[in-house]
Amino acid sequence: MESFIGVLLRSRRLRELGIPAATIVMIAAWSFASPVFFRASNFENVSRQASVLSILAMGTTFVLVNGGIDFSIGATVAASGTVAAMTFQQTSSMLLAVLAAICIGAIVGSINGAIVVKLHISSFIATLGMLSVVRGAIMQITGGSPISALPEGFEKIGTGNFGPIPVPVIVVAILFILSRTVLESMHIGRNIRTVGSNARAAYLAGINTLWIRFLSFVLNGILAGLAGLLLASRVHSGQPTAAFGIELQAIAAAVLGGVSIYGGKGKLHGAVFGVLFLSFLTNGLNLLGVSTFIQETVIGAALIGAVWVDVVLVRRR
Amino acid sequence: MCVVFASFQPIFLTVSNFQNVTRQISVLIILALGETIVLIAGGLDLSIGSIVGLSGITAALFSGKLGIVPGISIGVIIGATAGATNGILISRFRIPSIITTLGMLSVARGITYIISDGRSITDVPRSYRYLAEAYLGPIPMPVLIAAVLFLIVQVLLAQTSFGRRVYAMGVNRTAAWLSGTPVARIELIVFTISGLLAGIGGVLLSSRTVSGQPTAGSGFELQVITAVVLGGVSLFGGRGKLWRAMIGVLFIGLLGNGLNLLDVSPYTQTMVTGIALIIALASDQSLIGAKRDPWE
Repeated sequence: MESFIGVLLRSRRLRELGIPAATIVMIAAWSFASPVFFRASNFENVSRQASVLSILAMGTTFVLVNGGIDFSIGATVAASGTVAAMTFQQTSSMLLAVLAAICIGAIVGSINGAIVVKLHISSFIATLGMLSVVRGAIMQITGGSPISALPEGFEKIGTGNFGPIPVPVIVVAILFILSRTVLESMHIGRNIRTVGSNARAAYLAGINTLWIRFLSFVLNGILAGLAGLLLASRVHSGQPTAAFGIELQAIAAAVLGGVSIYGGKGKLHGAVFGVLFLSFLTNGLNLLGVSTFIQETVIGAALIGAVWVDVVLVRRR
Repeated sequence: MCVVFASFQPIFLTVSNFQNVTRQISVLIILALGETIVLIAGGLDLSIGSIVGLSGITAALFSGKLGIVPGISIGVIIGATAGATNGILISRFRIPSIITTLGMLSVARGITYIISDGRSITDVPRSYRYLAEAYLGPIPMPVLIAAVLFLIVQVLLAQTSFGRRVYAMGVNRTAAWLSGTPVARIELIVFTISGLLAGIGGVLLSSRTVSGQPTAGSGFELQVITAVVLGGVSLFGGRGKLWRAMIGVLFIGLLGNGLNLLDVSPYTQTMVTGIALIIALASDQSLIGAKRDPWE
C-alpha cells in the first residue's frame, strides 16, 4: 500500500495535478460547509482578490525558475500603484497611468537585475536592499499618505466587469497567456529555464547568462508594476503602504504550485493554482467565520505541508 | 560613521545616548547571535521576528497570572520550542529551511494573535520592566545579558567541537556527513538555539514596553539578516565571524540612531539602510577580489 501511494505520488503527471486537485477538493468541501460559498458573487469576489497575487506569482515564477529570488515586489506594487494614481490625478489618462506603472516596474526590475549581474550580489540580498530603498522612496515622496480623491475612471480596471467576467480576471488571463508564451515557447523563456537549472552548461552552450538573469528580473518587475496598478485601481487610490509582505505570499504560492526555489523547475499554471489554493483557503475560512488569526497559522502550516509532500514523498533520497 | 555623527550632533556622544542606543540594539544583538549560527551552518531563519512576538506575549501573559519568574521562563521556553520545531522539520523531514521558517513566520504570528486576540497585554506586574530598565553600575541590564550571551555563543562557535562542526557543515554538508558529523542533530541544535535566543530577545522587548504586543518583532528577521550579512557572514554557509556580525548590528543600530538625532525622516532611513546593505556587499566583494565564474 505504502509503495502504491509512493508510485502514485512519484508520477510526474499526477504531481502536477496535485495542487489543482487539492483546490477542487477544497472547493467541494467549502460548498458543503457554507451555504454562501458556491455562488457567482463569491467566486467573483475571490477572483478579484486573487488577481493581484496571481500576477505576482507569475512574475516570481520567472525569477525562481531562473534560480533567483525577488523580495522587492511588494514595495514595487506600492510604488507603481502610487505613481500610477499620481499620473492619473494629473492627466486623467488611463493609458499614461498604465505606462507609468509599467515604467516603475521595469525600472525597479532593471536595478535589481543590474545589481545582481554587475555587482555580483546574490539576488536574495540585492532585492532585500531594494525592498527598503523602494518602500522608503515611495513613503518619502508621498509623505506616507495615500493618493486619493482621483478623477472618475481610475477604478474601472480593478472593479469593472466585462459581461459577467470581472476585468481583473481578463487582465490576469491576458498576462498569463503572454507570460506562458514567453516562458514556454520563446527562446528567451527556454534560456531563462536553462540558466536556472545549470548556469555553467548554459554559458558553455553559448547563452548570455548575465543578460538572461537581468531579463528575468525586468520581466518580474513589469508584472509587479501591473499588479500594483490593478491593486491601486481596485481600492481607487495609491497606497504607499500597500502590499506589505506580499512577496512572501507570492513565493509561497509559487512553491505550493510546484516551482522549485533551486531554479529550473516549475510551471506558470502551477503558480496560479498555488494562488487559487491560498485564496480559496482564506475565503472558505472567512465564510466559516474562522478568525484571520487562525487563518495565518493555517496558511503557514499548509506551506510546510505542501513542500514536505514534495520533498519527502516525491524526491526521496 | 560615529565621528561624522558626533561632529554634526553633539548629543550623539553623550552617555545617555549610548545607554539608550545599546539598550535598543541589545535585542537585535541577541537575535543576530542566533541568526549567525544558523547562517554559518548553511541555513536561514526567517521566523525569529514572529518568535519574538510569540515569546513576548506568552511571557507577559503568564507574568500577569503566575508571577514574573515563571512567566519569563515560559516565554523563553516557548521560543526554544518554536526553534526546535523548525529544527525537527528541517533535519528530520528535510524541508528547506527557507520554507520551514517562512511557514513558521506565519504560524507563530498567527498563534500570537490567537493568544492575545489581536490586543496588547498590559496586565503585567510593574516589576516586569526591571529586566529591561535595571542597571548594573552604568551598564543597562539588556546590554549585560546580550554581552553574556555573546560570550557564550562566541566560545561555543570558536572553542568547541560543536562550533567546528557547524562551520564544516556550512562549507560542505555532504563532506561533513561523510566524515562523521551528525548533521541532523547539529541542525536541530542550531535552530533550537536560534529560537531560544529569539525567545530571550522577545521577553526583553516586551519587558521594555512593559506589555505584550502581538505585532512585536515583525520584520526583525530581515533587519537582522541585513545586519549580519553586512558583518561579513555568508548567506551560503561556512563563512563568517561572530564579532564581525555584531559590528554589522552596531553599524545598523548606530546608523538609525544617528539619522534620528539628525532629524532625518524614517522613510529616508529605510532607503539609506537598503543602499548601505548593497554598497557594503559590493565593496566587500571587490575588496576580496574573488575569482568569479563568467556565468555568474
